[in-house]
Amino acid sequence: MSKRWTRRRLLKGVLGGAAVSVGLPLFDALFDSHGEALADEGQAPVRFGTWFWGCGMNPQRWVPSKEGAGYDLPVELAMGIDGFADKVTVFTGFDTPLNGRNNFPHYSPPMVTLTGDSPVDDHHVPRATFDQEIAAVLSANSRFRSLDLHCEGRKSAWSAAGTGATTPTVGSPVELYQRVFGEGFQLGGNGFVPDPKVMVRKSVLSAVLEDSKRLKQELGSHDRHRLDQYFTAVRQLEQQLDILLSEPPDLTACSEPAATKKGKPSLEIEQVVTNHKLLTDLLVLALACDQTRVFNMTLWRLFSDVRYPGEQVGYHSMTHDEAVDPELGYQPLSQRFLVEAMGCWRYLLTALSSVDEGDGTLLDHMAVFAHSGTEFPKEHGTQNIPMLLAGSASGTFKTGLHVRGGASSTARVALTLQQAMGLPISTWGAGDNETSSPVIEIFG
Amino acid sequence: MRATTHRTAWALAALLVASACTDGGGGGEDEVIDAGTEPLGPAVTLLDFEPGPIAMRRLTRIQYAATLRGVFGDDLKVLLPTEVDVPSEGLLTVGAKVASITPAGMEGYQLSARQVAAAVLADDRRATALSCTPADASAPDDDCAGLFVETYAPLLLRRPLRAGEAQGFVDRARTATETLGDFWAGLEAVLVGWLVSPEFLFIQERAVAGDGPGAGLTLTAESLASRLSYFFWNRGPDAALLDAAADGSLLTEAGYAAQVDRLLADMPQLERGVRALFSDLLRLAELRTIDKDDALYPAFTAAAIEDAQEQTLRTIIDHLLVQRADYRDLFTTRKTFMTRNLGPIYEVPVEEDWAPYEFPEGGARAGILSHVSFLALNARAVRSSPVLRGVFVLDRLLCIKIPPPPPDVSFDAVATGSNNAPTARERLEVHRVSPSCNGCHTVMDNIGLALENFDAIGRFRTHEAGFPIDTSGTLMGDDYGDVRGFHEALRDAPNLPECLVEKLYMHSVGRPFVPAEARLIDALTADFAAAGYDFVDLMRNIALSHGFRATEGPMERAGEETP
Repeated sequence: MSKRWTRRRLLKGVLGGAAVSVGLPLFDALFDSHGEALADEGQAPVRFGTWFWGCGMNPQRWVPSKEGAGYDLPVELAMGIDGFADKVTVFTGFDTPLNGRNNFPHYSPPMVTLTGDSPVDDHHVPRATFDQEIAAVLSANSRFRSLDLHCEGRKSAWSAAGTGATTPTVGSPVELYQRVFGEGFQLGGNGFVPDPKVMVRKSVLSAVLEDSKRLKQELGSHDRHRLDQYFTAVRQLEQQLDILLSEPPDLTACSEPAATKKGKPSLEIEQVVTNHKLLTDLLVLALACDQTRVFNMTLWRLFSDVRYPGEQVGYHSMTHDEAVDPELGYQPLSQRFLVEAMGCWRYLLTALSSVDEGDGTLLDHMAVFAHSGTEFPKEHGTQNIPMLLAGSASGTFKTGLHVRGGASSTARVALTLQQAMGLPISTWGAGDNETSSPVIEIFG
Repeated sequence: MRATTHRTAWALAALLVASACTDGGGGGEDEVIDAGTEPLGPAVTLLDFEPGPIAMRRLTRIQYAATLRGVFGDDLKVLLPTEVDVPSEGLLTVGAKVASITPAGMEGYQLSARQVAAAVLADDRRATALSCTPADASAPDDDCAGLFVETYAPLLLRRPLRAGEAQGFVDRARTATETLGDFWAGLEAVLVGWLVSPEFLFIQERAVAGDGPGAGLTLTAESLASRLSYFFWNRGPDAALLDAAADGSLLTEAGYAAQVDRLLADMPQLERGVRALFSDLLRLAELRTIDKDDALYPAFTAAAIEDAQEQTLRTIIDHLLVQRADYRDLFTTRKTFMTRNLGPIYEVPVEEDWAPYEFPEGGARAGILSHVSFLALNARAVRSSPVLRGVFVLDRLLCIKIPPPPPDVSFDAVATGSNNAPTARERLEVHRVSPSCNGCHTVMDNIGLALENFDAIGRFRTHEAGFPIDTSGTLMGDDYGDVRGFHEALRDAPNLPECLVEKLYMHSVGRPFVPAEARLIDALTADFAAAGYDFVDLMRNIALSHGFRATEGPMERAGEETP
């Protein structure tokens, strides 16, 4: 087990080691919705997140041989979850059938996992991604519907409320800081005066909504649907302003970080890992302060050429070009990137478990779903997609299992998670991915 | 749905089937149209077909900024919105017809709107924006607010105001002013309201019944004004165009042609429109986001990247608008412009930035595909990519779609082997081991390998890892011995001008063309050839065509699986 983090240490991480000037009492109270304290039992809301890393893994070094509880930890998997195996369930042997469509290498599998359908091109999300379905329920009363982050130098957004409604991501820690803890964010208990500028801003939105209703009658069904998405977006923004106009809960532990470091947008591995760390630190605070209940984080894209300085080839190209070392049984140069990816995942788990909440930690009250776009990246495969689920969502799941999918669709895992987060659905997915069979093994 | 004209289809068949590169995997979405053999006549006289549907188009990020600068001045600083532009048919302006708005994106729009409103009405700028001042800056002034509303609301909503609408905006300014005790803050609030309105964020398209029996539906005058303005100028309609829409003259043949010619004659504005098109088609805006290894490529600085983008755009503008030269020669011209930042990459001494420069005769550099912008963008961080370059040329310049690997493609052949051969040509040999790879990769790789004389940032080279580079190949039946021959073969490829017609038409109407429009594309292509491939003439013909002005009606929702 790694050294347990204190909140004070976490904040120091955010501040890059600078002294923290505000006191940090124990973080033991959370709120259901803004201003409404939950029972003092320390009951915390359930949150959900997704975490993606591109370019897969080496199955013989990642997939446990033992099923069920107490699974073994092959070397690559251990890098990601050593010390957390009892809180992480590993899914292997799940596939992403393409419904007879072509394989857009790397892109099709995660689209199937996230939408239950196979894409028709390599840049349009075929349907809403399931994290957004969950966000519509979990984050219904939150300031942010979801926080969507990318860690490498290029945007890699794909969480979407539907085709054409892909959520933009934030890749800069400074931008994330400003969005969550900048203008409008107030700590509770300091006396609250609503800002008249925010009141005016809200009345502007209400007026625009009123004006725009007329448009609906003039549009075809394609545009009416898009106008509805526009209305949803404006209402979410109204809600955000409402929250800023309400007295914030007196959560003394929910301190705002004084600053963050400016990450450098880059494909250089060291910069990407640093960016992931800075973004994670802020994300964990945003979750702890209940600013959102859903996040999506992309460590690096599906065919990322994240790279080591001075080397001739980046990760994705390297996985194709480098031979498998017959003695080692894997690609030693490509392997270095996977080590970093698993290290980043472990950093996230560590950070989430460092926040005490009621009877457990933030991680205990979460379900964080990690997945990749392929199995062994040299082959662009669509089978045996690696997936991890960390946290029990406040005891909703059993954790610490290894579940084999028997070549069933990854959509089953997505269905399971949606049901666990309270969505009233019994079937999900399209074509060969349509499923009514959740992964029942993980329910307690 | 995708469609190809009979000519493109022929080329595609010849090229792809000969190399066993076909869409074997259930895509089945290509529709090959036989446009018939009847003589077509000039494109602008072609009326007996039903053009495609209309749909709102979300402003691209570039259009968003350009629109605001069009209204408030070119020196306006605009915080770009955060929504992601996704291309369709290789163009963001076509993807805009499916683009919607997300909660996080709306936050970004509001932030941009507040920033713009604050800048427009800041102390040092408000006198430019508005010719009146309130009697008391802390109190409402309906007259002054009214002038603001009448000046800017039609330009931003891209339509005349309806009865009573102006008063409604003035009332809102009054309320906000009273709440905040600041007249200018009251105007800012109203301005923000316009900028987050769907009528600003989406280019609206509406249809009305045309004149005469059987005339079908045409775009409304307001919709036509926006379509014209974004096509030619990449910004919203100016006051004169809105007036022509309001007084009905835009819907007369003479009035319409007069506006078309007015817009085409304004060279600085037209240049903006043409720059926007080629930035989109060549993905030039992405140059700022690419990452190259600093240690390997110290010359590839942020300033050089900016200049590389500008170099290509200047070359295009000079060639197409100033010289009015043959579009096809854009791919062989040795004329360009050079800067000191670019000098080290091109390995030429430069004394004066943006001085005209001519690549040496008989050298590897000719045409915009030998520019740093294209070569660096279509490459990896640390080395060139014949596959990326090949796919780009096929897809964006020749309108030949390469299908993705079929669902059942086997990657077994590449599963364990090493692929560290010294040159790209040898590394790509791996694609030949499997018939399912070989067919398509032969086509893509062939083009990209012709450009292997240029490394990941576009520097010239004759060797890779000490081994000589072979750039010979074949393009659509045309053999070439080196990269210079490739430029010539591309210039002469029949698909090249026709593909531009397709792209430009789709860009102008903001959607893919429908099967019934295949004849229009053919007629436009024939006119383009007859006019010596004059780009401005092509723009004019597209704007005057039936397809640009008429529609079958609003797009209906066909399910989310067909973007």
